[in-house]
Amino acid sequence: MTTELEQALRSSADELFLDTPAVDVLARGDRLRRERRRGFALGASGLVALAAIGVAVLGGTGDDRGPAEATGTKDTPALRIASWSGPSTNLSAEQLADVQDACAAQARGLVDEAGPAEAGWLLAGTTPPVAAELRDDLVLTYFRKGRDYQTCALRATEAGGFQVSAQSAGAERVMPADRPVALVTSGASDPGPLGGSLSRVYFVVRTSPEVASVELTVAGVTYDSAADGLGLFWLPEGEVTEAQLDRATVTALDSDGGVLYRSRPGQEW
Amino acid sequence: MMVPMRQKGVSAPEFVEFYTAQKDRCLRAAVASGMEPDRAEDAVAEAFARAWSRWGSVRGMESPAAWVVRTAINQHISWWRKRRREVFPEVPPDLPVTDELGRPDLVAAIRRLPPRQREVVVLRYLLDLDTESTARSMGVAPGTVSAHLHHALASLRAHLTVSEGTSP
Repeated sequence: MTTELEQALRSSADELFLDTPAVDVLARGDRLRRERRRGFALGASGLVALAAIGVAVLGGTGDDRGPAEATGTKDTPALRIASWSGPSTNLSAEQLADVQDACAAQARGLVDEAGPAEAGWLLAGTTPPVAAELRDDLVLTYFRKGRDYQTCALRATEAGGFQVSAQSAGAERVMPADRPVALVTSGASDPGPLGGSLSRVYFVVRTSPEVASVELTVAGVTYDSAADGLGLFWLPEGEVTEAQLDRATVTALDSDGGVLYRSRPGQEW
Repeated sequence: MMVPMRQKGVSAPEFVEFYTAQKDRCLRAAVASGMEPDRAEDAVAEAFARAWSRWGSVRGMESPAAWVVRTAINQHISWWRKRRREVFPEVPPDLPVTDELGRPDLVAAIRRLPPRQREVVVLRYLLDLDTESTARSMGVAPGTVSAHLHHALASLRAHLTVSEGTSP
């Protein structure tokens, strides 16, 4: 039986039409096909050169993967809770407890529905966050134990509670051998359109022991974070595009302000 | 007049028929999957062109339209987004999604569904695949499709009910 909702879904977005003429699509497809054929015809010498590059890249990847303990990160003391903007959280103990409960309940629901998952999903129920901050009506928290992590974003409700709006969990990457900083995860207060603008964007980076601070540059604006194994960025209100985020660069600095590493725009870090 | 290249065993009229029948549907599916409409137009047109460039294999797929939508989306996923792992809970009933006029925005609600539920809704309703084809396209069992669909519809229904109740 077709319900009203199903009918509405079938006709959703029906104001959108693709106007590209079929003849243009055919022409573009033909061009792609010709280019692919030319690619096949590169010849044996090209393939040999590419194979050599491939070996070098694969070799580098293997060497990058050291043991997890090699990073020297240490567990943050249980009750030292930072904010994303400074050294201490701006949430009260009661609010922190509410936040932790809401994140744990939501994560439990996800695990119950989807089955066994990464250990990070269970963190909110067992450990306090290492960072939590309230800005306007949004709370952003980061739970961490060993390399397991969970992010949890919540909106403050009119009733004074908190409602989870986005969550993620996983294992922090092993630090690459060739650089002292690596992105752990990032997100935004809303899923956002693919390729579109996002607001309230955050980044978590992992740093090696010699890094004292990290700078993140997005769309020409540089943000700072102290680094103690982790660097936390929560960009101020305002939208940035996915293209700008894709070209965001990171700089790792030592305690004297010396540059240990700086990524290039568009380079994955 | 431009004459399309000849491809062994395939015909341009057949592709044009497919394109004409599916182009709007694929655009809507891409937008409901999370693409901005402006970008989606270019991306879907490019994905159709890629489909034509290898029509001999694409035409034999379970759902060529689903392939087009997936290709359009994959072209626009940056390294930054690939590293995002967030899960967005089903739209909470007290957080209705409305358009600029305060009306329930169904596409926005679809975008907020968890990824697998969103994919099922897009394949089943925007691309109009049946359950079996949706399951094969996603590589899951038909029962899994039904389960995702059940949760997705419940979430969307709750969202619509609250949105209608709270709109001026």
